[in-house]
Amino acid sequence: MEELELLEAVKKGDREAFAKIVEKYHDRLYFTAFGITHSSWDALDICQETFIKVFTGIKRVKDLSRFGTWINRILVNKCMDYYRKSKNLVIGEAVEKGTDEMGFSPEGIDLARAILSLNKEARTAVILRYYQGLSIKEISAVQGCPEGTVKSRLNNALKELRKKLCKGYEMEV
Amino acid sequence: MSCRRFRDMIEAYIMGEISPSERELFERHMENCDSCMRELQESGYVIERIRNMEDWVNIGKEVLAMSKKEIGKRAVKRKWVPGKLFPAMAACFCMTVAVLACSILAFPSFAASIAPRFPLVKSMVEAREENDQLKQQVEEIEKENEVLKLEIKKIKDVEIVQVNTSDTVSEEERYTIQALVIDFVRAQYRGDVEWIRNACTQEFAKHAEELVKDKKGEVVFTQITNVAKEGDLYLVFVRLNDTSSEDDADYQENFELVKENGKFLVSFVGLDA
Ligand SMILES: [Zn+2]
Repeated sequence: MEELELLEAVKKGDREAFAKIVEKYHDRLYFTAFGITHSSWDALDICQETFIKVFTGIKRVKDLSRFGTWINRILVNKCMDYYRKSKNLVIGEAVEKGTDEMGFSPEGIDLARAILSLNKEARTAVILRYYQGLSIKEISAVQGCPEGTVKSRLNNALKELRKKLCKGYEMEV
Repeated sequence: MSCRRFRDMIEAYIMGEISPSERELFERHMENCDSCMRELQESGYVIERIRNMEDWVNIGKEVLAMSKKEIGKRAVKRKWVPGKLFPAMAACFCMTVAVLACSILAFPSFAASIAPRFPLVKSMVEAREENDQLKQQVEEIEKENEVLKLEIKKIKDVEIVQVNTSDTVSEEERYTIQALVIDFVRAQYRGDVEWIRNACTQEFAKHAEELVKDKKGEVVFTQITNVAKEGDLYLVFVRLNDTSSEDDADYQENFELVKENGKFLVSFVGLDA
């Protein structure tokens, strides 16, 4: 079934169609939330709540062709809520230990640290763009900011990440 | 043309978003300019690593699978409420919850300190706490009449531990229901939607297809409760695992049945991981 048909079915409360949508988007959204929050457990929480919100809120969505943007927007808003709520927590604490069984693997620690050094808006833009492959336009809709802002966020972030990840890294020419 | 202009195009080039004519100019410049080439390679490296982020993250497939199941459950908002069961049944439930909590928390990735934050585990832990209190009350009753007994039973060709709770249904009915539940689970693993549809109430038959989803491998039964009756509902839990995933943690299916014209029909099946 085409995604649009599935979504129409979900709108009518079809749980089987909903399960298919969950199957399709779940892992991608999980890794997105993880990339932004750097917390496995909170990412699972955020991911689950996003889907519940999709299930209950989809009736009010008129243009289902932009479902991908919509679901990402819910997810990203929940990630930002997470930051608001956990202001006092040391975000990404587990990253530093590098030992938790869920989280970045030891080989991924450099990447984790580099991503974590970005501010949350830039980090979100980076994950949406390079992990999910969204367009600048889509990201501007997800983050609710002008395309120019997304572009400059990405630009600066890339510069930062290059500095951190390519230090001493000999490029094969 | 200046390097500056080409550097601004690097990101779009990597993302495959520039036109063929621009592309040609861009590539020609890269071939002739070492410093732009270096920036292109570095950006390409960074973007590639983020694109493959999943390779750098440890998370068990089973955790993702459980999360998806949990979403399904939460969307349905159909929850098994242990407190509502009558005490004997609750006693049996808390026993299984204890077993359950062990097996769930034994998931390699479920470090006990953080596990409670995972919604599924959170509700499990809450259920266990709730049941600990309940258990105390029940233990007192239990001592008096020893309603809670484990017994090895042979149901059809399956040898299984039966958790005896109360005796509100006759031996004959109990066997019929337990046998039905065992056949039902087998039909789930065969993917026999038609069989399941026939075994369900008209209302619940609609979910037949969902009930065979994700059932893979050989089913291994480990425990079944005897049948409790609450109002018109017959309740029975079965614990099982299958050979489809690497961990061999049990999970539980909670069955509700009704009797229509002398025939038992499944009116609800809930999953507990
Ligand atoms: Zn140049």
